[in-house]
Amino acid sequence: MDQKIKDLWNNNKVLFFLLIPLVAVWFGRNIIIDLLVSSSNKVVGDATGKSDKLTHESDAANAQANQIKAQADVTAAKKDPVTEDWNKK
Amino acid sequence: MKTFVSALLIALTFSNFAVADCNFATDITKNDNGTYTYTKECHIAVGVMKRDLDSDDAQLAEYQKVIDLKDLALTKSNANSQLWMDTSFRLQDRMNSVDSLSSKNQLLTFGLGVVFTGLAVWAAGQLRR
Repeated sequence: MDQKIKDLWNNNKVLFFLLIPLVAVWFGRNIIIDLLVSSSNKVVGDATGKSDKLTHESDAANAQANQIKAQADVTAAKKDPVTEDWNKK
Repeated sequence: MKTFVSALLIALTFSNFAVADCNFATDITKNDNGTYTYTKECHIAVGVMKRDLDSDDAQLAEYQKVIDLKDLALTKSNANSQLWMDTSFRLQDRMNSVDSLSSKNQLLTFGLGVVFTGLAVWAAGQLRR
């Protein structure tokens, strides 16, 4: 039986060697798919981080603007009485 | 009658504390030397105008800061939108590649399965002889 297996291999190893590249291509493509999926997850992760930062900065600017406006309105509403010597101050 | 007179006297007394009422047409006199003479009411009225003008200028300056900050917030928001647009384009490219590779890989898997099964059957037949 061992001799038959050896003879089978010796007579047909070229055929088997031809199949190895096909298997390698199959494995390689699967690896590329996994890499693309991993890369996509990284892209989304990076974008999420940057988006959070931009959202925080936008909200902070809006909040500061609203605060300044409220203070400006309060200050403008305060009208100090005008006396005769207003031009001397 | 006494009540009416009392009310009238009170109104006349407190009228001295009323807001300055300036008639700009008649209460400002031009002098011979080129200067102008204002009544007290007009003097106070000018003071009120200056106070209000200064207050408005200060408020405008603050509002300009508000506008600048709102512009900054809008810019950040637009940048965020652009970021997600660009990200979706990049992901679309990747997904298209994955889809293409995956569909071809399925064919390759099927083909290799058939070939290896056929080879196994043939090898078994060879060994049986």
